[in-house]
Amino acid sequence: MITLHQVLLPTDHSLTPTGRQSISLHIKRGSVLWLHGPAGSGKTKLLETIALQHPLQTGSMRIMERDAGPKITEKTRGILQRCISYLPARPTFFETLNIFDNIALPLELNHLHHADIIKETGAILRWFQLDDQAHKHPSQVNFTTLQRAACARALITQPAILLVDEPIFSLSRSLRELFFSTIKELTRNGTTTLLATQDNTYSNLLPGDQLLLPIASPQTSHTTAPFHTETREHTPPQPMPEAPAP
Amino acid sequence: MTRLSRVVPRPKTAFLPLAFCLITWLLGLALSIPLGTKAGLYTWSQQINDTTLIALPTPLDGAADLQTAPLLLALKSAFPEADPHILPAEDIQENLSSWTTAWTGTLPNIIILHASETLPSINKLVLQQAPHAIIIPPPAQKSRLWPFINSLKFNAKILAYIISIGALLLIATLLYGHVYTTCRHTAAERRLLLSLGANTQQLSNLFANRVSFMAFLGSIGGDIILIPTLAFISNSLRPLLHLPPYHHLSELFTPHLFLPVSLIEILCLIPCFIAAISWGLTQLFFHINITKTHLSL
Repeated sequence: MITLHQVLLPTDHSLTPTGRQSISLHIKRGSVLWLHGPAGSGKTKLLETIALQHPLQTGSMRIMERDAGPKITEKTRGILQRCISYLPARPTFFETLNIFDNIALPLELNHLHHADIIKETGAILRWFQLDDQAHKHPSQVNFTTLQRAACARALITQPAILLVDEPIFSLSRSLRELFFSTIKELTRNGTTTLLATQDNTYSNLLPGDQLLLPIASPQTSHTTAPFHTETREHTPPQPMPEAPAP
Repeated sequence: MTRLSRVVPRPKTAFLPLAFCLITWLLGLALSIPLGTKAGLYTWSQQINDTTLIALPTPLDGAADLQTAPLLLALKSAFPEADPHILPAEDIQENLSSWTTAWTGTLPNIIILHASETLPSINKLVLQQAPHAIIIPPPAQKSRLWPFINSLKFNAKILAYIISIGALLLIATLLYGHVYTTCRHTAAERRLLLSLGANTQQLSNLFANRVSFMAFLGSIGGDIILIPTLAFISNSLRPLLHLPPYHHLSELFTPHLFLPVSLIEILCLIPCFIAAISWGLTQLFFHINITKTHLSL
């Protein structure tokens, strides 16, 4: 599913003498991988690299059997980015669109029909209890609502790969549980999930493999033991579950 | 309007259409200068005296009469554009009376024609047909003015080239600056769009469509300003060409009078040309800037 070979990522100089670490890992389809490590250990950088936010300078990377290394084409990048959802530490939104349209945008970019976009977006808005905020613009809602909206936008396409950065876990407990229950559902359908955190306690909410960063030796390799060992094909997007009863 | 088109950056200032208005005005002026100079010089040169007189000796025995008809026929067949014809007796009488006292003898036969460049050939033909004929050529204005006219035409062309190249460079600089600024200011939004799965080509197409539309609108504005400008310039020059001031705008484009009619067709095509070139350049500059941004991330 995701294979990294000798990918050099920067770290804090206090953590590694060279200020760099070489990462090689293989993550199977449908598995969950927790990235642990202190600040500056390269967790976010690794997530951003897999999210194709940075061009890869060294090493090689394959995502969903496609070359995503230094010679990645624009076409492949577009195809892969439609299958990857990245939930960054500070999610950003388009001020020209309201919350509904911000969440619906990835579906439009995936060329879904208008009726399906309305249906899917309505379902996920109900699921994250954002119905009453749907027509407000990002500047008109509070930070918690924005985080809910960011979760909804990341999950609406039921991505093949989900990358979650730590600050999103500072959500309210109810929302966190809602979020993790959705990820569990997606994982069962074959979504591969990578989550970055400094706090080990969150990993109890979603069982998975652990990777401690930074990796000391530049040649250290890591192969995750898949959470679901059987190989499964990626299922097409399923309709979102019904919103919980108030 | 799709959600994607609402998030793709759009030109927010009126600067772009105004700049294209100015560029169209300059391009239109650049095209008008050589065409206007050519047409104006043509009108001017038409007013230079090019009358050639061929006087046949006073007939004593009717021999000149016998020479006149074949010579006229030969001239008409060889130089029809010179419009050779026999000057009427009254005109000859009037002309002779202005030179000297009353002419008492038999009036000479005079053939009149209009020619300047073909004069040596006419001379040759006349001397073959009527060796005793006297040829009175027109004043040498045209031959003396020829270098000046050529120089004016050449300088008009050079000026037109300089303005056109300047306008095209201005378009390229303006678009590059606009695309560069937009790409820098909206880097975060573009990165978000790409991370959500948007295609770079989709973004550049939408952006280029907007820029070319703005350029098209500005260019139409430039055309609207250009026509009165040309009317003003040509009207100011008409007294120099001994032409009466025009009463209608259509007279501006009267063939062989001042500006050619084809110019108005070219002026109508300028907005389309500007829109097309803006679209292409925006696409090019957008991709260059995107590549730069990708590398600098």
